Formats: sequence, structure tokens, C-alpha cells
Amino acid sequence: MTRVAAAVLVAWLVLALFADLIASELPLAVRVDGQTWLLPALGRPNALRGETHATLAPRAEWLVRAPVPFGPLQTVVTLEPDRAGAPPWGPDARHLLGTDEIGRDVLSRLIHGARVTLLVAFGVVLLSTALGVVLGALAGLKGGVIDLLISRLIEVASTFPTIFFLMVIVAALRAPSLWAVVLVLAATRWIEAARLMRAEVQRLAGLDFVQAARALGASELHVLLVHLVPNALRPVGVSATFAVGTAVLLESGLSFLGLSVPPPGPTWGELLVQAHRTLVHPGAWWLALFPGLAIASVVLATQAVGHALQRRFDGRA
Amino acid sequence: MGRLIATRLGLMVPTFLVITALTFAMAHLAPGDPLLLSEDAPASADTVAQARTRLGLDRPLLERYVTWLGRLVRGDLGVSVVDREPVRGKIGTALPRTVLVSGLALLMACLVAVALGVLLAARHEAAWARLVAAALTLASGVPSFWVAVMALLLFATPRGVEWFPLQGLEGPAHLVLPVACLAWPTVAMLTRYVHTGVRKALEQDFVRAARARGLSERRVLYFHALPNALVPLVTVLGLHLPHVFAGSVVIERVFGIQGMGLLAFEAIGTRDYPVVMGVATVMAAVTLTSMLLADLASMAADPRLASGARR
Repeated sequence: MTRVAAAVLVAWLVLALFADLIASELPLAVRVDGQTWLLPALGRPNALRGETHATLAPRAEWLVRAPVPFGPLQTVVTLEPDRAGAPPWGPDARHLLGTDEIGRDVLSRLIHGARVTLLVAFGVVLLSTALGVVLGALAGLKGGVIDLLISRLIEVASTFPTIFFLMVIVAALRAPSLWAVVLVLAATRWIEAARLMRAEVQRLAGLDFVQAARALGASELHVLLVHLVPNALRPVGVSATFAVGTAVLLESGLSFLGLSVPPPGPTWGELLVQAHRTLVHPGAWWLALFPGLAIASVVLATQAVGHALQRRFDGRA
Repeated sequence: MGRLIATRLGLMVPTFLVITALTFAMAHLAPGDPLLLSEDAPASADTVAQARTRLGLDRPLLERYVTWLGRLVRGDLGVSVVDREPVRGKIGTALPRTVLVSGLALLMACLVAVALGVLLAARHEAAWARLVAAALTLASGVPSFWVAVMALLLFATPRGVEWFPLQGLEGPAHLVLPVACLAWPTVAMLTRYVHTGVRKALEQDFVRAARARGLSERRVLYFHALPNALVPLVTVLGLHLPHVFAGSVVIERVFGIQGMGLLAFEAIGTRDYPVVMGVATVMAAVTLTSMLLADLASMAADPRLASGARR
């Protein structure tokens, strides 16, 4: 079970990392007009501007197709005049997951959407965990007024509905960049890490080995970095794993509201918006089904990995 | 008890001030100008300046916040910058809709979660119980707005069956899908709490004692194990309430319900500060009240807490 989950996560990461090569209107390699191009989707050479698999195929000496030979923004309506009716077209051999209402390949958009979603999710978790560790350690170690302030902050922030705050901040940014979204989400997701870190530091600080280190004249910083943080990282790590799933849900929720990384770049939430909009084209079920499955698969996979980590750590403790 | 409540209420004031001040600052520091975004935008720079003075937008931020607070105390939430309607009226029409949908969702979720949780705990060895428990874990990873879109696709378009209307909130039939979709994540979460709570309770001495006295298994389950499992649930529920409210933002958008969520969403889009602040105030009030209710309810359920034994 855990292996399957880990495999799903790795698969999505690979798809996200190599999205430009896996799903592109440009081939992996092509020899055309006496010139050979390797991985043109990466460099986007001027000579191939506006070219696609369809325009290159008749002229090229040879060509290695991309696994998904459509770009995320490419509309295929003019390429396929043999089809009856206007898009959205259902899944078939050419478009495994169908096309959207302006004729863009859903699979290609899903793969490129994975890049945004996963980048945001992992970025948010890294940043928010770091922030939480620092604040939690500060509260646990210093105590007094600092602890009181941070604890109150944790209490308030953990109950106030995040999505509302996010709506205000993201709307304030007008057209937020990917990193702005990461920053804003991280600013609201540090609570769990801080709470855990604070509890762990308070627990550990009373233990003998920390007392011993202090007695030997170790500085506060040394105690924190060498003795406290490494020992507290386990529970924080487990919670961070779960947080990846939460971040994916939150990002797709935001982009569903149109508040995440702006179009035309696809995100999973934005794909679902399209599905919602095309409910008037009754029955374009593929538009709703596949992005949802993608989100669910990542969330569930991170949860499974998180549970596995938890069991392992609990077993040893 | 009375003193404890007073302390809690006292602590709520600074929290409320922090939440509203933060929202106020963010909403006002945001780029974009409601006067330039509104449809009957004043033409000349002169009129814009006049309107700015009239609305008090040229004053320093802190002064504006204090003015706003002063009005709030008198129950005045101001007037929308966009259509000059009083904010109180707007919230007055939107709030009941959201309360109706999220209240029903919460009620449904509680009923389903308690029934299902007890059932799963009592029959935890049965194959179907494990299957349902696994399905609930799966359900918690599925975003509710996807469920909502899929539900519309299946039950409200000609592709599936057209049992329910697609948009709006006019009759009981309009409520079914939004309530079910909003209840979804809460059911998944609460059932797990009830399930583990009841199972833990069933292993404790007082349950063994009840069984030893010859009470029926059903009586042991419903009158001894369940009440004990419900004590922590009350706190969980109180802290979860604001999130149900927040979840309604997306659900209202999917189902086209003109509630608080859509109101906030549209107000943020048009930089309608007074409306944004009105919604934020209501949200902060809901959050703080449910925190207080959670505390009070767990005190009522567990008198040890009221005597300060654990605080």
C-alpha cells in the first residue's frame, strides 16, 4: 500500500518535472530543413516557432514524437477537421482524456497542471514547516511573553478559516505569481509545525541530555540546533507529509475560485472550473472526472505515506 | 464557572481586534481603487477626490480603522462603496442562506457521523466495516468542490438524471446537493473521531463494569460508551464550525447560492472595503463564538474542566 502510494507520488513528480518534454506540441527530436533539433521543447528555438507535430510531420526527415503530442495551450480544432461537431470531444485514441471546450488536450493540461500544483504544495510545506519550526522553537525555548504571544497567535490562526484570509490577500496581489501564492499559503500553514515544535522543545528541554549539555556550557543556539531540533524533527516531518496533501487541496480550492496562479497556465483547480463552466455542455464528464482523480490521488498518496512514517516512528519511540 | 466565562470573553476582545485590524489593513492596502472599479465611475480626478473625501478614504489607515470600530459598536457596518447599499442589509440577506446551508450540513454530518461511527465501532471486525472505514479515509482526500461538480454532472444535467436544479436556492430541492457536498468532508472527519472514541471507551473499566452488571450490549454501547466518546467531539465540532462556514465559499460558488461566501468573493473582487469588513466581522464573530461554545460545551460535558483541574 505504502509502496503504491510512494510510486504514485514519484510518478506525479516525474510528470511534473518533465512536463515540458512529456506533453508538448514540439517533438522530442526532429530533423527538418536540413537541421536536427534535440528536445526543442526546452529551448524553444525561433526556427520552430509556431510549429507543431502536425506541421512538422509532413516536412521532417524523421521525428520522435512526444509521449503526449499536444501542448497545454494548443487548440487542436483546426488540426482535426474530420471530427463532427464542436469541442469538447470525449476521450479517444488521439486524446486519451478528451479535450476541453476550446479543443485543448486534457491530458496535456493535467500534466502541466501537476507542475504548478506540486511546486506550490511542496514549496508551501517546506517554507511553512521552516517558519513553524522557528516560531515553535522560539516559543518553547524562551517561554514567558514570547510564548504567550506565539501561543495566542497559534490559537487564533488555527481556528480562523484560512480560505477567507487567503481570498483577501491573494485578491490584493491582483495577478499573483506562483511564488506569491506559495508565500501567502505558507504564511497560513505554519501552525501545525509550530505547535508540534513548541511541545517537543518543551518536552525535550527538561530531559537529562539537554540539561547535561547546558551543564557542559553549551550555548543556547548549540542546544537548539544540535540537541533539540534534530530530535523534534520526527513528529514535524510526519505532519509535514500530511501537510502536502492539505496544501494540494488548498491550492486547488484557491485556483477553483480563480485566485491562484492566473491562466492560461493550467492548474488542477482551474481545470475543474472549466468542468463547472461546461456543465452547460451536458455530459462532458471527462473534464470533471480526471482533474478530480488527479487531486485525490496525490492527497491520498501523501496521506498513506504519512501514516506509514507515523507507524514507523511510533514503533521505534 | 462565571469567572471563567468572563475571562474567556475578555480574551476574545483583543483577538477580535487583531483579526479585524489585519483584514482592514490587508483590504485597504490592496492595490486597486473601488472608485475606479465601480461601473458609474466618476469621470474627473476632481470628483474622485471629492468622493474620496466624502467616504473618508483620504484619512490615515489607523484613523479609518478606529472610525470603523466606532461605527461597529453602534451596529453600523457602513455603506457599500460600489452600489451604496447598506452593508447590514446585504449581510442580512446573505447570512440566513449560508447559515441554512451550513447549519443543515453540520446537522446532517453529526447525525451520520455518530450513527456510522457507533456502528463501525460495534462491528469493527466485520469486513464491511473495514471497507467503510477505508472508504472514509479515501473520502477525506477528495476535495468537496470536485464532489460538487461531479454531483451536478450526475444529478442535475441531462447526461445523468435531472433530479435536482443546477443553480440557485429557491426550494427544498435546491438544498439537497449543496448540503450533501458541504457535509461530505465533515462526515469523513467526524466519523473517524466517533469511531476511535467509542472503541477506546469500549476498552475501559467502566464499560467492563457495566457489562459485568449484566447490561445489554446495546445499553452499554449507547448509554455508557457513546456519551464518553462524545465529550471530545464537542470540542472538535466547535473548532470545526468556522471551517464549514469557509467551505461554503466554494460550495456557494458551485451552486450559485448568493450567501456570505459569494458576497465576500464578489466584494473582494470589486474592492468593496465596507462589505469585505462586514463579512470579516461576521466570520470573526462566528470563529470566536464557536471557540467559546466549544469551551463551554466541553465544560458542561466534563465538570472537571470547569473547576480548572486541567487548566
